Amino acid sequence: MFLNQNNTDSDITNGLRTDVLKIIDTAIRNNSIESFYSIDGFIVKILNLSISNKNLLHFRDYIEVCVFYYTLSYNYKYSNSDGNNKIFDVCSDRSAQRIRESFLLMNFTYEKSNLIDKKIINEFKLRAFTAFSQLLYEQVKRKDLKQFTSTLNQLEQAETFGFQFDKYDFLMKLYRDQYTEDELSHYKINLQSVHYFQHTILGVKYWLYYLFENNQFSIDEMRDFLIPINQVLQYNHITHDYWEIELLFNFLNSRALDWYLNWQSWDYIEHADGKPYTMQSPFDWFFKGIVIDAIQNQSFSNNVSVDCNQIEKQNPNNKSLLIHTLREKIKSIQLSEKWTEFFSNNINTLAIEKQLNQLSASFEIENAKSIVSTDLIPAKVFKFKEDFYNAWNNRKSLSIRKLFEYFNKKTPCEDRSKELFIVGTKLFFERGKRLFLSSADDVLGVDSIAKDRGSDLSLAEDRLFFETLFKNKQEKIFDNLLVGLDTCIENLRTAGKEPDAIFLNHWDIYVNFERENNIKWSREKKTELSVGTYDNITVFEYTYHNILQHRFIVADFTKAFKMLYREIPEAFDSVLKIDIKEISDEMAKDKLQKEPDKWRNIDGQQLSDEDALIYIKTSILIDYEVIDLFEIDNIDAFEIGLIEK
Amino acid sequence: MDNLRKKVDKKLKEQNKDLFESKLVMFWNFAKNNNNWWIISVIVLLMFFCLQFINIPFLNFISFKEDTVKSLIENRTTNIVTLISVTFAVIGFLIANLAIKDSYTYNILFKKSSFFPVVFFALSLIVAFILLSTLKDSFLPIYNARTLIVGSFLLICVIFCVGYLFTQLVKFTNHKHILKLTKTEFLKEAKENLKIIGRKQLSEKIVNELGFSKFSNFRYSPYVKADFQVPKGHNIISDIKINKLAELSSSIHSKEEILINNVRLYKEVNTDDGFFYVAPQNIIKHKKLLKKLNSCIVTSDKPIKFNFESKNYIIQKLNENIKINNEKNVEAYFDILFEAFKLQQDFKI
Repeated sequence: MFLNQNNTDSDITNGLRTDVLKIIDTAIRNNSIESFYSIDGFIVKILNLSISNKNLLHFRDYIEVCVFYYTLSYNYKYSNSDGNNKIFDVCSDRSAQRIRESFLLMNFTYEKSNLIDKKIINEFKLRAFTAFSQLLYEQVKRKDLKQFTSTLNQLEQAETFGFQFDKYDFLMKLYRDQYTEDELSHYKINLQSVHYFQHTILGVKYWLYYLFENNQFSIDEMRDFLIPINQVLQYNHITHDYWEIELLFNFLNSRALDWYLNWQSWDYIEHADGKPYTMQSPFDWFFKGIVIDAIQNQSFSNNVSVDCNQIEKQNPNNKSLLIHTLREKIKSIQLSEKWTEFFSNNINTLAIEKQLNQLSASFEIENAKSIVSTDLIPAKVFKFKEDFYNAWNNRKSLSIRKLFEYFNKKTPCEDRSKELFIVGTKLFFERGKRLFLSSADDVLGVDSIAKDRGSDLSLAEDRLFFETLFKNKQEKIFDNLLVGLDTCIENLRTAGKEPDAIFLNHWDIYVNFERENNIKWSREKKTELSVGTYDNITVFEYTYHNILQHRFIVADFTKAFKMLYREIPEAFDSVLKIDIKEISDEMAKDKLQKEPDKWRNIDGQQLSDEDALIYIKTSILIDYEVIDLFEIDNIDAFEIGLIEK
Repeated sequence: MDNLRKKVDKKLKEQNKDLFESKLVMFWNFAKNNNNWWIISVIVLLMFFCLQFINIPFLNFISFKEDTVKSLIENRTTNIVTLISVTFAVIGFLIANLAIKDSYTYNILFKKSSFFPVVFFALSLIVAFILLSTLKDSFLPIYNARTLIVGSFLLICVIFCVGYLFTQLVKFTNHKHILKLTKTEFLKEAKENLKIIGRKQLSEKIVNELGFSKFSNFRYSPYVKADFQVPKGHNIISDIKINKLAELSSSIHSKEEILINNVRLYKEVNTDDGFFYVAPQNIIKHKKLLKKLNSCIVTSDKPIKFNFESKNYIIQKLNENIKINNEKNVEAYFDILFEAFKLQQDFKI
């Protein structure tokens, strides 16, 4: 259940906790109540000493021991032949009482502490709430309603400070921006402890829902356990607002998931040793519990609109992820027979779905406003351009541009009247602006977008070259590749040309040269761009677009082709132009006019024109181009073959 | 002296004054150890035969006639043998009536009651008298007389020591006294364990401050320990020549090329372990340096281990007392255990 995390090399009390647990077991087994009181006294002294010295390690280890008072004594509850359960009553009562009493010193110390010490004391409180949480889980596991109710009473008395804290007063002041920085820091710390208390109770409540859903509790059993929980919630006016759900989701979507209130270790199945199994995750049951409560209340509690970033910086992705998670839970509840039975065949989720849609839309608009008002980060823009250029210029496989460089047949076109092809596009990248802001992280994959686009542009240039060839020269048809190649080479040589390039796809090279061990084939490379030679002519492998499927080209490259390009000032290599532009007002209006339904609707929520224009402006325009022309100098200096069989 | 352990102990003492005993207590503990019996014997024999050469005026009031000296030597020898015989009988009786009879209690009885020093004192005196008795005809009469006077004084001391030993042994028939001694012994054990922890942690910190890069088996690039082997049978780092290591460290320009493998006091090592690692291409470049660096680490074949004898005894006693529901003893033993938490939480590095 709990891990013994003492470091062997740093603590002389290492291992003592295990001994103490064995001693408690001995005391319980021997019905030695007075000895148990002595052990308990020892635990009290350690807890108080640890709080005074702010030693979290000892506190955590020994507050957990209090839970064992209950679990160990429960094992002997029914094994006692004389029916004397006094030791169990004493141990189980003392279990919750001891945890609660640890709060006395913590609360006392807390009130006298400065901000730093308050943070430390909150760590202690979290451990104490974790012990309460685990104790409630153990009591639910054993369906021990009497002790469960008693533990809830103790828990209710524990965090007296929490009830003095008026959450809504705090929020209203926060909303009106009435706090000094220092005051706000203090209130945030106070809020933390209130949340631990809240989550301890809600955690066990939603676990009960989960047990009911998985046939571990009948509906009546669950309702019996829910009565004391709801009493505590109602009596103390505990609500779980949507912004608090967001805070928790953000918190759990981290390593805290592994330890927070021990939730991750909760399970209702005894797993056999050595067999793999999947652990239950709080994301499965806690957030489903939130939705079940919301269905019952026909609303996610959302009395005050709070941006939780004001309280704690959130991962921006988590807002939409939470909405997605809650929608998933709604779907699964709708499909569940158990919940259909619970809600008497009337699961009405319309209201909360609408609320989620509103939240989603307002979140998207808020987010859009923030994106639109933020300037692009030049470093991110430059990095994108650089990645784009590298992908375009240094493609791993053969690029035609490189081939023209190799044959020294690439020349700038000075003649402005000559028409060249613009290869590239103006990409309207929907919601792409966030990739170029300071908050963008690498997970968004901006570098892979740049690499893909750069590589695509290079391939588009290749396609232009091959299309030029196919458009201007008639293919010759042959029965097989080798005959075709030999014929074309012979023809060119007869015509006084010296063939220096053969283009083939990978499959043809393998089947005809490699597999057949063709005597004219050699793997010796005349250039890094080639894969070998055939009849002493350099062979270039080109596989993209299936352009050379069943085809080959033999050419006296130097005489046959020429590449012209337009020089562009301030472009990469004076050739590649990449511009990243924000969406102008005119462009946004134009988009809205063309696709009004698309931009005026987020999650079924209608936006005003003003909001829709803002939403459009979260996109970005990526404009990239090269201006090329592939010319055929001598139509007789190359042959294109088509293999019919 | 170039010795990290002493440096670490000095720092620990500055922060945790109660952790270390005074030199006098340390000597007394040394003398009380039964393995150091020869210290008492050497001192007694030296005093017996040599103290006469120092003139102590206020002890000069005793004089013996030369003709009675030899017979007095025989008498004194008989006296002390008889005295010790009786003493052993009484000690045997007292030990048989200990409040708690188990090996741990016997152990602390022998440790805490000055049993061994007194017994070795008395036995050494018997040996001294037997030697005098045997050699009395070979010595000058004046030497015999003076030695007899010294011996008589020492005999009186033995009687007082035996008396003191009896009072101590009588206390062992009292359960509370044994609890008190158990606590003292437990605290001593806990302090020794804390010293080990402190030495490990502080030495690691000091070595880390030298600025070497850390070696890890999980590094992608291969690193080798060069030509070095831990001496056969050695299993622990017992000390580090820290000044020399610091000097070598400050003379290295490319510190990122030398990786250190978690060097600290009391680290357990195997024959194949290395302390300093370099990339294979740098082996020749740093060969001499590595040799010097490795020579700063002192290893030993005597492992340092935590001692939990008292703790285990207390746990055993707790279990026994819980079974008979003796809550007073349970509380008393838990009070002792609690001291460990106080010590640990007060411990500073």
